[in-house]
Amino acid sequence: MRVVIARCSATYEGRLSSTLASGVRMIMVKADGCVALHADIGAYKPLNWMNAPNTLVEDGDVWTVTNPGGEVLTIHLEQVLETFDVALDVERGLTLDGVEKDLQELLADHPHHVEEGLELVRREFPTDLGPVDLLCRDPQGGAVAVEVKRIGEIDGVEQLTRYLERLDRDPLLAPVRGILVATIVKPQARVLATARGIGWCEVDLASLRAEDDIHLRLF
Amino acid sequence: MKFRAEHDEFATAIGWVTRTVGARVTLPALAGVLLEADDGRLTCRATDLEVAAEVSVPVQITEPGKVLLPGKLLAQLVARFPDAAVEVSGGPDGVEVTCGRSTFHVRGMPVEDFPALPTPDPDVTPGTIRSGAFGRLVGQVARAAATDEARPALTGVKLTSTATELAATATDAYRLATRTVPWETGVEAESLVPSRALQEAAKAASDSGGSLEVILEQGQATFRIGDRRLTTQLIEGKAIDAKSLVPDAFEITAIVDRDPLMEALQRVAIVAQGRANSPVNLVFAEGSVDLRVSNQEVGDASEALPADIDGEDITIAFNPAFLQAGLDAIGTDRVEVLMNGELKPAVLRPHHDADDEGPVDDYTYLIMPMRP
Repeated sequence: MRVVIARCSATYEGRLSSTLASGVRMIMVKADGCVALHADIGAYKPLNWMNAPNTLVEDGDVWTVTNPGGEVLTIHLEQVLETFDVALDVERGLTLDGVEKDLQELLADHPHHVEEGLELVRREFPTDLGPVDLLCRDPQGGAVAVEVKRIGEIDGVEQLTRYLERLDRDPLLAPVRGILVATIVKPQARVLATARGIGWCEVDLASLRAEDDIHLRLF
Repeated sequence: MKFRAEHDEFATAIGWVTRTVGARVTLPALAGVLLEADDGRLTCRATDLEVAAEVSVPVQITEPGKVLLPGKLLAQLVARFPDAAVEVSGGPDGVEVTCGRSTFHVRGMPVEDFPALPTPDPDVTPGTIRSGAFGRLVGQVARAAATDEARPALTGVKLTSTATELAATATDAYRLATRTVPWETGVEAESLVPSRALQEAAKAASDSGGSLEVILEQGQATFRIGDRRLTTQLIEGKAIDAKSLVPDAFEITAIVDRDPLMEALQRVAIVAQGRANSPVNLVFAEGSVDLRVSNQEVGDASEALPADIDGEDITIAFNPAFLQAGLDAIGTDRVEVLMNGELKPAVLRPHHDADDEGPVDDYTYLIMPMRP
């Protein structure tokens, strides 16, 4: 990751327009190409940002970041105070909470609960955006990416959308179908998933656990 | 209070007794170790109200007295002491502890808050058993006790004593281990002893050698080993009757060399990757046993070993860790695997050849199979 501390201003042209007046800020250019402009306030949200994929052109003191949607972030560097590069570890993603982890393991052993005939190829299939919970094949040999959540919300659909876009770049997998699986899938998530051609499925954790327990008992 | 103790004896005593100090205590005194110097001996006591431990060692006493010190702190200090005599001086409010060039001042806790430890009834006749035999008995059987407190009765080991025998049985509902050993002067009694306490007693027995006295009475059991005494409350509830669970007869018997079987099991179980629902399938047929493990994500493994089989071919699946624990407890070169069907409990037993001269080990490990 490249970090630049600089007095700068910025403009954004896209669906909206915005202007950021001159001030000392931190610019991060991440390994995946995302560009973020941060003030010294707030825990997480940048003042301006441009997600990858994008194109960054540095022309002297002017950085122009453009994405495939035609949005443009322009940063004018007035005074660079500090700049350095640092290699961060590859992020696996947040550790699953207990229920999600359980659910993922159970569905890995019993993928037919997601869709009849599914067979597991791999758990946590890696992509450059993070691992996909389950990569499966359907009876027709098609690749199916399964995202497992405790509660299925719009974020989960968005996440799966990004994974599908990535996986579809692999000619050995494309076309890849997606299915969002959760104990509960919220109505908005269902609508968004359906609109994007992504499947969704609710599973009962207790039933899964009962089916999974193949230990016989003495008493 | 002022006394001088030899390093090894002091360190061993403190190290053992502090294992009984309560981990999460409601009464602060239970986090302490009571040191009492009197009559040429230092007595160290600790309890968590379920288990009480006491040990005494010879010391040179200048001034008798007692103090209650934080147990975990004391254990940590003693573990780091240099190899030199230990001198302790002070009073109930705190002591100075020196060892070599190290000096520590440790604050005491109110001595009066430390509970009186339970003592065995002097009218109950103790049973006596060699420490090594006791340690082996506990090691073989306690491994089958449950660790989950959801069913407390399964976390104990049932000790059944007569004048001449001591039987130990434990089960977690998936497997059961039982063994009987001879002992001396025991009384008729049946006690459900917490597995943890029994294993502490076995450890003390291993450390000390010699013989062990076991006093089984209403509500508690006491184990006396040399200068150490461990008393534990018993678990309430009915222990499982092992005799009713172990089949009287078996349709299929297989005899296999134990060490190669254990090594093969360890190898193929790697593929299971510790997953609780990845069984090892044992295929008994045509003079061999084939161990097979399959993992959808990783792959599969198999290994075949010779086996003397009497009975029909059978394929039976077990939890690899449970199977390994049973094999590990068997001391003979060959092990008997006794079965009645793929969904019925199987038994692992030591195999004794007709011309074996040593004592017969009647250890029995009953294990339920897993669904295929």
